[in-house]
Amino acid sequence: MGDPRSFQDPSDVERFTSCTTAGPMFVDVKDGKIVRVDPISFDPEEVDSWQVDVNGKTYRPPLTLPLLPWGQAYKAMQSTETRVKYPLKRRDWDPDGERNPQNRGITGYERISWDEAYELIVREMNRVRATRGPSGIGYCDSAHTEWGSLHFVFSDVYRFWHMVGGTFIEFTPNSWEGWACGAPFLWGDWQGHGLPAAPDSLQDISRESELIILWGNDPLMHSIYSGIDTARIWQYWRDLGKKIVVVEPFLNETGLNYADKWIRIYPGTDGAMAAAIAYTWITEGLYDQDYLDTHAVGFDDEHLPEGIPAGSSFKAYILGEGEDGTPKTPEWASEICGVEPRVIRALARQWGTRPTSLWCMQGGACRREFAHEFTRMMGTLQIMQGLGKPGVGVQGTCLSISGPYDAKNQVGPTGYADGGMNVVMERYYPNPIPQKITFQKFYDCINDAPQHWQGGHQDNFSADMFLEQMDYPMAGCAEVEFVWLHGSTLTNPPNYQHHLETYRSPNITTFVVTAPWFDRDCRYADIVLPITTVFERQDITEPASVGQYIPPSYVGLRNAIFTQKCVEPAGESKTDLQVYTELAERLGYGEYYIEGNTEETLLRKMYERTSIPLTYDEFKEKGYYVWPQPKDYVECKQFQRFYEDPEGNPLDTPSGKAEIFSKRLYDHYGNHPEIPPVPHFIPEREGHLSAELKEKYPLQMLMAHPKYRFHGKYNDIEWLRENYKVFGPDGYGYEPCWMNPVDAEARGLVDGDIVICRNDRGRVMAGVRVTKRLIPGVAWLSYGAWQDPLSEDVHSIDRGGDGNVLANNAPMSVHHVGGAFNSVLFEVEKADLDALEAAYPEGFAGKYRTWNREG
Amino acid sequence: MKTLLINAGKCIDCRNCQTACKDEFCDNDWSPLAAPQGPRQYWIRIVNEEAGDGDRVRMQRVPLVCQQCADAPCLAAAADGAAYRRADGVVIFDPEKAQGQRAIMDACPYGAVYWNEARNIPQKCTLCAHLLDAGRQPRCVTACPTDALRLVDAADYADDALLPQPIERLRPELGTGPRVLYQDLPRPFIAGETCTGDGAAVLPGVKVTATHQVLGRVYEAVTDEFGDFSLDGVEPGYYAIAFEGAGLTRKTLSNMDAREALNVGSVRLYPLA
Repeated sequence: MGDPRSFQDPSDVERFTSCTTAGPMFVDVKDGKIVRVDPISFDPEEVDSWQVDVNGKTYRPPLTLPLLPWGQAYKAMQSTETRVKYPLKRRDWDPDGERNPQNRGITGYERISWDEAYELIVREMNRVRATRGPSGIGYCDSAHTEWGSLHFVFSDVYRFWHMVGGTFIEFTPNSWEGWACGAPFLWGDWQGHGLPAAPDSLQDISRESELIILWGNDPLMHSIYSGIDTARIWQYWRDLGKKIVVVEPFLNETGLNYADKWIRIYPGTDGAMAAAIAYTWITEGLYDQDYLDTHAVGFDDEHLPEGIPAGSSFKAYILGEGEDGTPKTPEWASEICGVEPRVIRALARQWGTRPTSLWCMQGGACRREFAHEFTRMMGTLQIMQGLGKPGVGVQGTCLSISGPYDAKNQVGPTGYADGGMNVVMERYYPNPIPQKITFQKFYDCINDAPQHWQGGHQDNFSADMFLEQMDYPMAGCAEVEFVWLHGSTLTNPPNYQHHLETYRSPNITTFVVTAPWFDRDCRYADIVLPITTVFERQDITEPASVGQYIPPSYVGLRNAIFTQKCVEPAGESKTDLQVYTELAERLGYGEYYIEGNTEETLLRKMYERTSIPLTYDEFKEKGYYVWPQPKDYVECKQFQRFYEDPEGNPLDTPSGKAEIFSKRLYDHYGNHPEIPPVPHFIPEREGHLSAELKEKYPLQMLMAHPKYRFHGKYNDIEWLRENYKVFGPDGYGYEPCWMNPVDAEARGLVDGDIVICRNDRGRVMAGVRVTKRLIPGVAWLSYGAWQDPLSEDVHSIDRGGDGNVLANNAPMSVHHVGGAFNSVLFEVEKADLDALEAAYPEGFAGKYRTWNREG
Repeated sequence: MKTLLINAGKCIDCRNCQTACKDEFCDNDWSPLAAPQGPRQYWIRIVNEEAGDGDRVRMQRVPLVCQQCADAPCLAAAADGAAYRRADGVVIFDPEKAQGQRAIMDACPYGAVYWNEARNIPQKCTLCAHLLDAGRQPRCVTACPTDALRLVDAADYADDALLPQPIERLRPELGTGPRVLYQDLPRPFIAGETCTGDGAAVLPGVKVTATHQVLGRVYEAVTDEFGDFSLDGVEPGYYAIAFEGAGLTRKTLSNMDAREALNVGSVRLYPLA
């Protein structure tokens, strides 16, 4: 092979290295233009690899690191038409006169100079700071920037806003909402948002687990943050003879490729089936009573906290000895979830007699009404099986599969959660403004203050922080009137049109978006600033750098990448760091932000903190480094120490044990029907059992991630669009709405038909794809397609087909302000394209679409 | 001669192969081996077909690419030497000479050749000949995260007796001598479950024997702990399927249509009288 960097390309290119959220890559450039992007590939000579050997079969991490599907299209991303190349100002936004907030999303933009842009922003910031104070300015980061240590939200963005002060418009851990608000009450782990890290899970599962259950989990396609060698690992487990079972409404990609069994279940009924599994175990003695006696609280009445009456335990609930008097038999569950009792029993018996790896974390089932019950129930099942025992663990779609990791070989601490550039600066600034707006209350706060809520933080460091009531405006703070979005979207808001409506509120006087692409919420901004892509700047990072947030969560050859500057910035685009440096200067903060540094000096200083045994210049030149495998490595799997010695290694719960009965929830809520102290199955308000609403909207909507798009990114990239868009007779690429042949036929629909999907929250157009991969009664409309409203009205039909227009923005329960996104009923019917086009000629011509800057 | 070895069963439809192909060939001019690839062309394309029914559904996938046929119809259809075979076996269309020659595209029975309207030429996979010449692998191969695609020496696979899966060709009946090697191409399967007469319990350990009613070929399986069985890769046709378990009355289902994948659903078995 030789050094992969030394190959002689026929076109004589220069080869750079880069690291994206889709994986690390080589970037070949000629004459300032990208020729190709290739997955990064290490020379076997420079790699000292670990491997896993089980039963004569070996897994060795690959030398060529796989890219996620959109990563392979990054050349197109770099030069797409939607790139923002110059600062833009909405034509009829005049800070000295009419601001015309009602025209956001309607009028077009004009090019302005950077100097004009800075001047406008500084004037507006100074105005708001003088009249309302810093809390009158709200800032928000998009969840999905590229990996980096310097150019990353926790680094340059937070430093600036913490320095000048502002109201943090925060998003929640919405990838695993129900885990974040439920699981910490069961097993602690507030720092990890309820997701326990899973070190050495690759070895443990490979060696010890006999059964793997994917419960609402599709790691193959959704290992988004891990960027790992998922397919080969699952093939390895299959080759080792693991039994793999999928419990899902949708036969997902991991299931299609590797599972032995698909158990079809209706969305939101998982808790009923889980309860029936517990019932089977209890009545047949297929669980670990000894472990429960020493490691858990509240499984049975004998182990309830002091003063709690008998009949309050999980076992009492399951056996029907509690208040509801209903034994949670497989027959009872079957009526709810649609799975045959014999299949529930068969699964329970296998699970109860074999070391089982349960893949349940993240996934759609945790983003629903009462999802904290689902997560506590799933955790409780594994606790009944001796969580921490060899082969018994909890995993998720990402962040929870790990090979050997010794906590030394990493770029950190300047990583995801560690403050980036702040670590190497002289001064550090905590944000002086305590006020926050959770994105799920953005509409209410802006339009209808005061507001009060619970939950909704990006981070919760304790139960008290989670349960604290939030007020808006907070005492001593003002209402927000200036909104700054770092990235073009305020994450992925449910009930999107009602969210967009907020942008037209006169209560927002200034709305700034900084983004590389004119996508998503850009269309509603007053000022848009052009930001560089990952190919146009330098950084130091690790693939799946989010692994520094849950540090062990990377499987593969531990490596660091120098993100080299491959091409010059498009147009006049700048890095966020440059923008914030200039703004700080103009706002009168002098050098306080950048402290005399440049991108290069900051990277040098951050590099000094890594354990990479090269000089900075060597690393920068070479572009990557692969750490050797750890020496004298001792494994320690998830919950292993707790399993072995619960007294010596208590969990971060009040009792130190797994709290199947949460005294904390009991003290806070009593026996609340929406969040009882032991996990229950609670029927959703908008779900499979909502008979009345189902008469109007009979289909349950599934909102699994898009396969060829990164959430809402790259909806415009033709190389990806042609993989999934349904091209109508009008030539337009409609977002697919997948449905079972039974449901299609009942509506007179065939594959390729253009339809309207609707519920009380909105209407979107889509193209039908007929598939047997869905249980009848459930249709899959993904989220993140860019808005293309047919008229000026934000509530008009969205031709773009974003599932979030229909998604549920209700609270999960009294316990949590949001996170019920996926509890959605809707109906699908054939669209009359000719009539729509006649009614909305301008809309069909694209006048209001997201990516139209002209207006 | 180098050729692709494609393990169809390993394809996860990530389409990294297809996108890498576009990355390599769109906007890049590798003439005289290839002019820039036109839009909506898929020099490698994943064909997805759902098989089975109910909760026994599978996705059968075939990466489709130029087969570099031994008796390539495109070569025969080309005039003025517009299509030729290199010494390494790769069939190339000359972007200059192939202008206007739609017959080259029409000749391909695999649908692996595309028409570039703007350039007025047929286009297809070159096996990344320009990279092969530089000692590199085709882009689809290095982009594949499952090892479903590999570049191999055809001679090494002349005898597949020792391989875990036999070597197949894609639609050899077309008679063009396709040279791309495949493994694990889709075939029908017969799947189902066995349960007690009242449907209350699954029945593990039941022996399932499917006999092809014309060829007499026999496939066997034993139901697992879900009472499930699956007979994979069966010869298409009609089957008699027998179920036998300890203490159970033998049951046979005849004339079961497995010309395509078949989910026989739940088969109820009763105790011996």
